[in-house]
Amino acid sequence: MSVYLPGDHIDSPSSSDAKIIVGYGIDLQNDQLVTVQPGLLRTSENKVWISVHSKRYIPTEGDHVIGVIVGKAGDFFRVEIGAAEYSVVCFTKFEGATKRNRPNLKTGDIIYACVDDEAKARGMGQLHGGFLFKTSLNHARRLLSPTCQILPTTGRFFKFEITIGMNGKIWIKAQYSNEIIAIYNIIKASENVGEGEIVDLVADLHARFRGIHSDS
Amino acid sequence: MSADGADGPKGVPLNELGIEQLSQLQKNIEQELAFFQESANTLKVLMARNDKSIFALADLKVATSNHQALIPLSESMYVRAEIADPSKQLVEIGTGYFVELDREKAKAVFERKKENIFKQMETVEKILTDKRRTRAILSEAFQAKVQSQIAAMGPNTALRSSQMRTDPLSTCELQFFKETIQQGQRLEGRGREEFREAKLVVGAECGTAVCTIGDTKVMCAVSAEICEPSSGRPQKGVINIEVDLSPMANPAHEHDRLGQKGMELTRLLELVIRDSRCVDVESLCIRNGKEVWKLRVDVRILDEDGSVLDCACLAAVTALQHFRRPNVTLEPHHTIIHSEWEKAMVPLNIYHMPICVTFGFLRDGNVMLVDPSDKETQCVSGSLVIACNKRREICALHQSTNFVLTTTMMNHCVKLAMLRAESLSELVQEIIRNDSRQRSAYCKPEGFAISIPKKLLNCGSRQPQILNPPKPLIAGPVDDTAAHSSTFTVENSLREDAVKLEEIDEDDVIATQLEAIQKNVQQVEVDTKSSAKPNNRKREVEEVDELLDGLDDLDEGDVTTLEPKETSDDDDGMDLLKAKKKKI
Repeated sequence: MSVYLPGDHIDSPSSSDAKIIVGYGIDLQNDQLVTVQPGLLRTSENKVWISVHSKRYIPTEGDHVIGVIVGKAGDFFRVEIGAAEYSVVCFTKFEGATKRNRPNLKTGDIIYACVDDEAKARGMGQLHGGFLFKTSLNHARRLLSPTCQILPTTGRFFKFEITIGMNGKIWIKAQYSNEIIAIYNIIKASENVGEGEIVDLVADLHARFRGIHSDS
Repeated sequence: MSADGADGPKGVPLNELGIEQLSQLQKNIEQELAFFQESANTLKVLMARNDKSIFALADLKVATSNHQALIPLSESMYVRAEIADPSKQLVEIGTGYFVELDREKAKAVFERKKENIFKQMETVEKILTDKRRTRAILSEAFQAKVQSQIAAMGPNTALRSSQMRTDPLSTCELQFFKETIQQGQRLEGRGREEFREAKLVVGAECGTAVCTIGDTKVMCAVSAEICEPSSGRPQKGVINIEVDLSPMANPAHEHDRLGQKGMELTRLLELVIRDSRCVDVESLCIRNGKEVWKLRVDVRILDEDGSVLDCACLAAVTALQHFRRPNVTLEPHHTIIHSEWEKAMVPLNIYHMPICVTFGFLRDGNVMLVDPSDKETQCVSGSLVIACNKRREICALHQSTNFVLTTTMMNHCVKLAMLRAESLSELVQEIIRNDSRQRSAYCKPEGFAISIPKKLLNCGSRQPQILNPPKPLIAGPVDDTAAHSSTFTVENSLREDAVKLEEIDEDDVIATQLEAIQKNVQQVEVDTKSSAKPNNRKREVEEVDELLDGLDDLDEGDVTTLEPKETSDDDDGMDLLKAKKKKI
């Protein structure tokens, strides 16, 4: 495990004849792999990428993101997804929408969408109610990883719906607002906690939540 | 004149007047009132003077000729003089004319004057009470107008503030915050009147501090240079406050461009730190009118999550407390600035520490939120900043957006702010005391290094933290060592036997890995020689066979045109094609 800063050269993995797939945070300059983002180097088989702690989202094709509608322009909705620019979604791309039957979205509504050119909703669309908040991008990626224990463990204690966008926006919905607050606190607190201590953390926060709950 | 002033508000119904007209009227009335007040005052002075003259006449009755008296030339200077004829006086009858009158006549003149003044005073008093009444009515009408206008504007204000941001507030967030705040719950698990924890760190260098309140983070650095004072204040040092909103804190910010928010922050900091006179600027003077110290307070917003002013102010106050300026020696024609090692640095003279506290208000000032976070700031309809020190003095009070606060609410806010100021002042003093103790013991101060969360550093190197995507299935020989290392990480760390993995003797692991590598290398070699190529060949032959079978149905010409394409791809393919043709 080593920390790389922008401009550092990465030594190619030992097997030089195998193709290397370069991921996020690395650029090829003069046949040399150079890091362009600060972070930890990760390798898996023939893939290399930099694990970066960042709050700002850079759109990548195929990412599933959560966006906030900020306006309408002709046939398009302007959506804020945490990137440098607003993105646009055509209203016909929504599930069940036709030229006549437009989705009724207002400024401030949130949608779950995919960054691509395809015209399919595939179950994505508006998110109703609940609560939206932001975390760092790598925490969102960690939550989405199949080996991550945070959500399964939380699910043992609480009943809730969750949607995680690759842009670091997370939407949660539970029956009571104090449950939402408890889940929010678990997700926020788990960012700097190793995978091994997740169970303890969640159990601890849940106990605290119950304690307050029974008092009131 | 009095008739003019009274007619204005009586002729037209007050309710129909706009706010601007009302304020203009109010101004007029104020002016008239001031004028009449002044004339009443002068009349009073005249009356007193007249009375004095009457007393003097009475005194003169006993005087004989050649009587000696002290004649005042000024308030406190007299001349000894003899009165030639006490029965006659020179009486001023106005505009510099004097008349010689005997005693009885003079007395009559003064009595007449007194009556005159008294009458005038009566009329002026009457006008004054009239004007005061109109002023009261007007201000009442004005207040009512303003309140109704605010009520009409109310719901829009929150919307306007959220539209200006690049990070928009979604309706679900707004709904959620409104609901939870009504219930008295907040995201961090604190109540409506609970503050977030403030953390302070002073840097290794003098005059630097980092303050965090919740997620808000501000760094402040104080530096000093010698400059010429302004001609208006030749004996006073200068304090400049520079605010920089880093784009790191909020994507809406731009470097070197403050915008409305940054300007407001700068002005408020100036108000709190410079205008509350917490720093003794007189002690910053080196040479009267020629050289003074100019303090530059650089405030850098590193992260933004509400209550930025509170955090910035706390950081600035701490940095000022922590700052040491170089010592100077005055020579007749020049000034010597001593380095740190020649003469001890001099701390600033600080009278008091102003601490800012932000309050957010919902529902037209009925619900109060202490220390609102960034999202809460977007939800509230207005905010109030109270700056006070631990001596319970209010240094500044600033209210953003228009709403009317009740006195009880205001008093409550001030009380909370004072409690907060007391606890934070103690924190600052403790930090500064610890730092100076360390420095006097020649310990190297730790500086900002301690502010990096140790968890964050450890966490990165922890094995179970590594997240690998599910391993794709690859046909053919797989490097066994790579597979081995990834099983470690994919392993569910929560299982009981996960711990055992770490207990395995490292030497054993290395030995087995080495063995595996050696075995693989041999296998791979064998594979490349024997199995891999023939396999490929076999597959290719099959493919080509299929292709040709399909082509058989077509004309001979088509096949020949296809040929060069195939040959360009693969030499073996060409050979095979030829072989196939021969077969045909």
